Amino acid sequence: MSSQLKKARLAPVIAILALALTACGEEGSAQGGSSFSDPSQGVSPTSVDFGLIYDQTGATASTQVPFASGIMTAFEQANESGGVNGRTINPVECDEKYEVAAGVACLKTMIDQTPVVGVSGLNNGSFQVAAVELVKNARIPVIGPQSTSEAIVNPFPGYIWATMCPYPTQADVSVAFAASELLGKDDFRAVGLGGNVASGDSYLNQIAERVEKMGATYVETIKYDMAAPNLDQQAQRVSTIDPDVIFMHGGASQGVTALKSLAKFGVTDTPTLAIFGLLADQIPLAAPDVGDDFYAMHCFSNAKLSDVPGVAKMIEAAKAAGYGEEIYNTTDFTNGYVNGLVIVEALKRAGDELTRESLNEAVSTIQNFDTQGLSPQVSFSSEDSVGVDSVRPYKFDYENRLWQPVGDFEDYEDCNAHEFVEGNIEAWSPDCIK
Amino acid sequence: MTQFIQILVIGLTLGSIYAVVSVGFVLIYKATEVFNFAQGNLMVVGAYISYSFIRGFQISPIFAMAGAVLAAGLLGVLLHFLIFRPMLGKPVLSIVMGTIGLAMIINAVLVMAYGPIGKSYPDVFPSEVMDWFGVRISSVDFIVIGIATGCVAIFAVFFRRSPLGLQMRATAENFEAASLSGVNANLVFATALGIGTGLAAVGGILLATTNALSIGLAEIFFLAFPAIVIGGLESLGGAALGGVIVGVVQSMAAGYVSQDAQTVIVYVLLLVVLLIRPYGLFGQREIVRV
Amino acid sequence: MPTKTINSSYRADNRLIQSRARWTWLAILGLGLLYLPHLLLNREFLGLTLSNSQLLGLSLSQINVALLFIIAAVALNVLTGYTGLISLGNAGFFALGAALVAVFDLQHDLPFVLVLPSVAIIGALVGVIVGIPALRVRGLYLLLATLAFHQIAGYLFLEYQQANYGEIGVIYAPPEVIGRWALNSETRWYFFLLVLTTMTLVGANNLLRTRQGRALVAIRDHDIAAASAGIDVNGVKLRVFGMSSAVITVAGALYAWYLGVAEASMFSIHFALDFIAMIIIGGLGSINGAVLGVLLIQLLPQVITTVSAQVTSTSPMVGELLGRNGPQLNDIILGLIIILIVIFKPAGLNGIWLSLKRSFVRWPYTS
Repeated sequence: MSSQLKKARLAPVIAILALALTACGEEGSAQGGSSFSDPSQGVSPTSVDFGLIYDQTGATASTQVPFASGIMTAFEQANESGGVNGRTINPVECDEKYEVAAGVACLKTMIDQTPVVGVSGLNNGSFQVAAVELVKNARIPVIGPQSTSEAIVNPFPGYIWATMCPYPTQADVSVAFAASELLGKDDFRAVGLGGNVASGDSYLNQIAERVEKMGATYVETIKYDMAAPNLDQQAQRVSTIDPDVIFMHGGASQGVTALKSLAKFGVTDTPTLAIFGLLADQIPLAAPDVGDDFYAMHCFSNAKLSDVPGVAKMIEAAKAAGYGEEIYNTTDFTNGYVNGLVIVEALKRAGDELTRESLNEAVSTIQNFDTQGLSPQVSFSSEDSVGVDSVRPYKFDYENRLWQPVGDFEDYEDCNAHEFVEGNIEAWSPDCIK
Repeated sequence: MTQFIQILVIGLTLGSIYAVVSVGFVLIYKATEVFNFAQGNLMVVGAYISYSFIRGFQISPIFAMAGAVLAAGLLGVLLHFLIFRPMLGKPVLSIVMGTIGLAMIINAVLVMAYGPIGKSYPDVFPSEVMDWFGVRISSVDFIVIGIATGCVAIFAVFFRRSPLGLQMRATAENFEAASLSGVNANLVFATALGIGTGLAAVGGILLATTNALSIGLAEIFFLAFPAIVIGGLESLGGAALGGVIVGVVQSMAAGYVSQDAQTVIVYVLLLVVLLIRPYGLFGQREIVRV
Repeated sequence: MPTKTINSSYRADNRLIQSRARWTWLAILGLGLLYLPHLLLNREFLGLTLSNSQLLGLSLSQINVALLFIIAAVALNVLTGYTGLISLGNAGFFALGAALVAVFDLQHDLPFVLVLPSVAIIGALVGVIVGIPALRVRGLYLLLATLAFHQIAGYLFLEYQQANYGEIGVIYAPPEVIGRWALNSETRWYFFLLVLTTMTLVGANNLLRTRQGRALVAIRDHDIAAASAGIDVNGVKLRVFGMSSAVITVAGALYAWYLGVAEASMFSIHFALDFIAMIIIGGLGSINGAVLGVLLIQLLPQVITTVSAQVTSTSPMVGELLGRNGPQLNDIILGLIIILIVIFKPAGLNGIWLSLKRSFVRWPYTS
């Protein structure tokens, strides 16, 4: 027998050894808790697995990492106080990399490979579309994508529950707030400034629709490239049109670039209303001249608003979970935290016999869930999968370096025309602010 | 007409930034034949270092920026000894891949050090808008163009007049002959890496002043690429001019065609140049011996 | 037992699988691959239940994506590794494949058996056009020319998508391969892709044993010398561009079908660069290398995540560092592997495997 063959025989032995070694790393625990378990859905008597699919390394990591951190903070907070119905919540993370393929692999893995009872995340628009069918077939509840596109809301999906205010709600409040609070007239001239991506088009179309419905003039949508190094041309165009108000779409990086360019071209006194993606400190700090007329819509209060009752508890939980200011001071963190509270609430309501089906059932029963000012009250029903129905404008306070809300969430409740659910904006009028 | 001049000025500002980065890139390529995909990431490193100096150590912006360029240069020298020198002489694609590996590491380290959330770069240049017959030009544009041109000019003088510059040119011209006449190739390569990385840092800092400082800024490098090719991989002057051309073409495309089309038009230009003059506008035909 | 089979006839020398030992190994591999879906879906091996970490957190869907990528990586390796024509056009051809499926399947409702060949033919034609610059430029300039194709293809896909499908992207239904038999489960996809991957691997291995295949290597080593040796360099270059592009375009079509959605931002420059990383890590100019490279890049992150989860339960300090920066550490490790391979092992994983094998065979006469 030659040495070659002996060597070849070693291979399986090594493989088995390796397998045995990993087996040793497995921990086994059995103590107290519930008697119900369903390993095929990630539920054991003492713990429950919940999936978090989010972008950890890709283009949107800067917003999704704080979002997921918020969810995990809510989980740890629940675990500290004894878990939910005797079970500790165990987050199972997966990096979606802002790639559809990676996201789909994550979701499929969580459906039957490393099964979880429910998932959160699914924040990238195209991934959401790819996920809808998978989610329906697997009947697995998705609680809280960080963005809410029409594709996951209408038609009513049955298993996807949104805790983020959708674009139409932001458009409802933006236009009403501009017309009745900032300008005080119906015959203004507006321009839109939006990225050359799908969400930019759809948001600014919703704005244009409302501006025109009230009889004002929507001059044009000025587009920019999401990766553009500056927005000089767009700013120059805005200064030529000289509108009464600017409606803006984009994310934090684009916001900084836009404000710097607007300042460069002297567009410093025109009220500018933006979407939630633009509620980041660095934007107004980038160009204070523009920033003092800059408003961003949002449905969450961030950790710097010390007079919001829910904030103290959130910060305490964030610190206990080991997150720094850098992470928990962002509105994305609050978004995640509220989302985590909703998940915990749903797990509670699902009771002892926790399954995907009972969890999904439980979400639809959540009504007027109070987050102590961190967000509007969260309400779902078996027809309405959008839980957060109100937004309010925020304006940057340079003295205290934080975003101050303009009014309460309730003041803007009536503005919501529920366009995604109703299919039109008949119910919308600019005089909706209390 | 004012519209045209306006767009031209905007393009020139952008182009001058591309030019600085491209010159740094071509310098490295000429000296070491390393096609450095990590140049965009090195740009971002420079910007982050200057950010740390300004915000963390409270150093005045001018010194902070100069210090960051210097620090980036030293990093370049370090990278030469760690990564670039061992890669010399490997197949073209392997070297490209090695620099992509480097880019991955740089990105990951930056995220670990600064977190995933972008930073707001402090306003370091005074912004004053001037209106000349309807053409609006901001003082920031002048400053950016000025700094970029200044850096390229200083480099050009160094390259043409200093003994080390002479050695660099000799090495680029004929490596073996230069080595035989006593040129220290290692020193030349290290200098090239240092200056190339320093120039990348200049570009990165200039970009950061008009942008949110984030890892994603490195993507803009993919527009400096066509600049390099259009100028010719071998020509430093060509790289500078290519940068300006790309800046202007991109700006014109965005202004007169559409936002979506600006990148693709630059690349179509690249393709046309490649088909007509395969070695770039200022490059030299490679003569191959059998 | 001889350490190398000595061929005593041309027929023996021409065999694809040369020794009986090879046959045995291939048979074992084949059986393993047939058993894999059962192992991964039911997580049990001969009655023994396995945990996720024992399976390194792998899932069948990751394997399916890896199979798809192997098809494309092998095709790219024939172009880049064997012929020396550098191409960054991979993502562009994936986009082309996705768009063609949208046109043929969604808009014109052609049957599956017609869609795939049409995709391949158009992919080949576009590949030949993209290959034209390769007749004039080489090396880095070719890399940039294909980068231009990448940008143009991405732009056209975006325009097509926005004109016909709007914001979120093109949405595909599972394809019905024969009659009503649709690729609608992981297992079905697995076996379908396994057949295609095997065909690609056998095809590529076969190609390289022909006169054409040897011409490819001659062109890589010195195209002008190859021309003077009587090889139709331009013709061969265009043909190999066409062939490789056809396969990659088909892979792109299947990728879109498999995911159920395609959107312009999916086909980014990083997607294209990933393939280059795969073939370089695996070993330029080796079929096995392409396979190994894909497996490493696709499966490594999952393995690192799983291992770091294990570490967390034993030593929280290290676990904390790994847990918070897991994906970053993954990138650093991958980056280091790439750099180390480029510097020390230019032949890639396949080279490492071959030299290991050689030192085993020659033991104890190894250096």
